[in-house]
Amino acid sequence: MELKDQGAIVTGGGGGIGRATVLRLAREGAVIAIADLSAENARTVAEEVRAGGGKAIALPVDVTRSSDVARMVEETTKSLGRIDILVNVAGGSLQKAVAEMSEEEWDFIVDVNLKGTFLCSKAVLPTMMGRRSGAIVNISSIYGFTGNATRAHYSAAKAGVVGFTKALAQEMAPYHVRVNAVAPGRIATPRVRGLYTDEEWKKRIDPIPMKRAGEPDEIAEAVFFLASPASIYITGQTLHVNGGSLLY
Amino acid sequence: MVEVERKVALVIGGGGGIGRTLSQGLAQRGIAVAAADLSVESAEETAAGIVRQGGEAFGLGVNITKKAEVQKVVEDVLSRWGRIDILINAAGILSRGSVADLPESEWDRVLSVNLKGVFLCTQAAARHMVGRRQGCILTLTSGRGEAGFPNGSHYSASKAGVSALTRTLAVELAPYNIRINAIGPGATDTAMYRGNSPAEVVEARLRRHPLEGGAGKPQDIVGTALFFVTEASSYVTGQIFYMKDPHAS
Repeated sequence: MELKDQGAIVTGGGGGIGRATVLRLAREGAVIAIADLSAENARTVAEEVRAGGGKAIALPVDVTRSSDVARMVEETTKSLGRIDILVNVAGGSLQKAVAEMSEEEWDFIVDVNLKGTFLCSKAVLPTMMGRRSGAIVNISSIYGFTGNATRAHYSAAKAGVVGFTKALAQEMAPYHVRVNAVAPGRIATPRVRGLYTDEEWKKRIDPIPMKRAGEPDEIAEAVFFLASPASIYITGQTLHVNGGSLLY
Repeated sequence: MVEVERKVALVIGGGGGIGRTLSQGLAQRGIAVAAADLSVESAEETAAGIVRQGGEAFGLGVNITKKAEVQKVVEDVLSRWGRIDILINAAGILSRGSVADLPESEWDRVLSVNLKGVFLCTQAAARHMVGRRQGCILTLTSGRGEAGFPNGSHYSASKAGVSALTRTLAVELAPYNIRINAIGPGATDTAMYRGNSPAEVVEARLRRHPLEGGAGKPQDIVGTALFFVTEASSYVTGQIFYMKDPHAS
């Protein structure tokens, strides 16, 4: 149990990669605030943690609203006592060509993926800086590196997450707060898998050197590594978990 | 031939520095370690230390620039334990010299150990791993291969070569369920580091916290190496992962 009694917030913890991350951190003894836009999904995952003997609270949070984020940090501190780890998983994408994209659609995707990461990170800095310790792990995406037609807003936001991660890492180094990112490739979350027919899915798996999609658990392992003492002096880095994509 | 039950790692450069510390870290995880080094005495010392702690290990001598010697090391491990699950390429050398004065022999020496040696070891281990459809390879590289540094043209070129080799082999070996990654630890307190920088520079780096530009200790690398050579990184391959920003001063 490498994270015994450490307090962690996982945004987007109600499903997919967020849920896998919650369960992985809980397995190491972390006590967890599961923040999700869907109160119901957050509650379901919190119950899973409790069923496994862990401690978790569920918080309905819109990460793009600073008042929600402030309440998230308050309630976490009250219930769990401390915040050692923040994992910014909340995010999402919609397919739309730039030529057809409204300003509102741009704002929505950039806000949930990038501004949310900024707001949540900022909100936990005072406690982490004060204790001169802490780890923040942000979820970027392979699309932040490759771009993706019909996902310009998402690609830009996820590239932004990498820049934000590096800059914040430099600001936080004197306080020994570490900030890193994980960039998933194609991950078979129920939501993503549901977007494609079997044939479409196969077409997307073929170019991956490992010839398979990743599992949410495999992202959770990378997050756990970057949140744990195993990566004690690593900061500002992005770990690609993509089965060897991006190589040629 | 009876396969040992525990996983087997071959650590090239296991006789000292980061390679020795990684050997110990693997052994503490229950992995059997074959430590190979140019100095067989140092490799045997690493192994003896592991055995004293209750682990399983033995030491071998190897000059990794000689294909026949590399081949023999792999065969020796296989005849002893029947399998190699993990290869760690931790052997490397560093020297400095301005490009105008760098002797061709020095270029050849650094390239042959840091790049060709990694190729030969990886090739020999991969042949075995391909047959088993299973394996994990981790090479120590350096941010200098990405960022470069004055008077280190040969070293930087060798480490950039390691990155290219890693990316290429990740694609080539993926169909055989072999993952290959590289980590760049950044300045680390080893004899190699101390021997190649002015004492006052080394002392200053060692006084600073690693998150604030200070040099790390070999022990700090163990957790990262274990991530890359175990199931924790099961969907990670072809990564050149820098533990410190190569472009930071």
